[in-house]
Amino acid sequence: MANSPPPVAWLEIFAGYLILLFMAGVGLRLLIKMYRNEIDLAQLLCEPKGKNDCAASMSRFQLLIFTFVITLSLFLIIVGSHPPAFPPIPDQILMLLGISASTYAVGKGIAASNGGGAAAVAQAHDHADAAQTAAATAQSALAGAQKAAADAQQAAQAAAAVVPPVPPQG
Amino acid sequence: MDLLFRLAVIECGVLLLSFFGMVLWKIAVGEISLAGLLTTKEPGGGSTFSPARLQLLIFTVVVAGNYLHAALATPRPHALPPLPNSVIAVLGGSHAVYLGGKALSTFIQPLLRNPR
Repeated sequence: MANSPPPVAWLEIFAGYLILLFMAGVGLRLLIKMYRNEIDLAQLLCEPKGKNDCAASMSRFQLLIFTFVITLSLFLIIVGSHPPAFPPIPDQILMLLGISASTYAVGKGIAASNGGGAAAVAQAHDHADAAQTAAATAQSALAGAQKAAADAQQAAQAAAAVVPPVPPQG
Repeated sequence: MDLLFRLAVIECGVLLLSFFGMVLWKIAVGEISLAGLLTTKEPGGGSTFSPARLQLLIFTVVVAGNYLHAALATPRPHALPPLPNSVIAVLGGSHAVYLGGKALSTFIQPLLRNPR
């Protein structure tokens, strides 16, 4: 009885096992949902381009690679140290992750703006071109109608000259 | 407590490798598509090869591979291996080139196509 751990230590051990069990359950459930595509990973590297289209994004891909590598390295260092402890993170690693995540965020912002003002100006120019074309078409149609009216008037005059007027009866 | 620590290590290792393996497997079988990773979309609808994306991919793979190797072969397992400042600078430049190319194709090219 003298060698048994104090009650607080028992509580620590019990809490540790409980957390371990909970994390295993959550992780397993997430893995099963990913495998069954209930958690869809198909768009993980996909950046929307236009309304229904999307293509793999380099900014997402590099963030994924760096996240994998740093996480795996951190795990190996924690497991390899005696006693196990969370190691200090060098400033360079924080900078690396900062650059990587910033690139992802800025790239997403550029893609979301989709050209912003420049695209709007280009679209306005296109609309102006279309309006000019429509005006030219309308002008051409008006000239055609005027010519047709003149031809009809000319034909009516010619007909009046050929056919003598009918005298009134009675 | 020792058994608890061993179980925690095994569980974390299995979960981490399973998550990474799941993503890598889905990339390998094509469920996570890599189509268009090295191409940039033109405003007209077509897509062209992008050297900015290629250089970013090369720098990313090289730096990540070197770091993983350094972490596996580190003589001091109580700290993450540091990364030289020159590597950070080169990687930052590579990312700047990529973002510059992306901004150019998104903001500048529509204006150049229609300069009025």
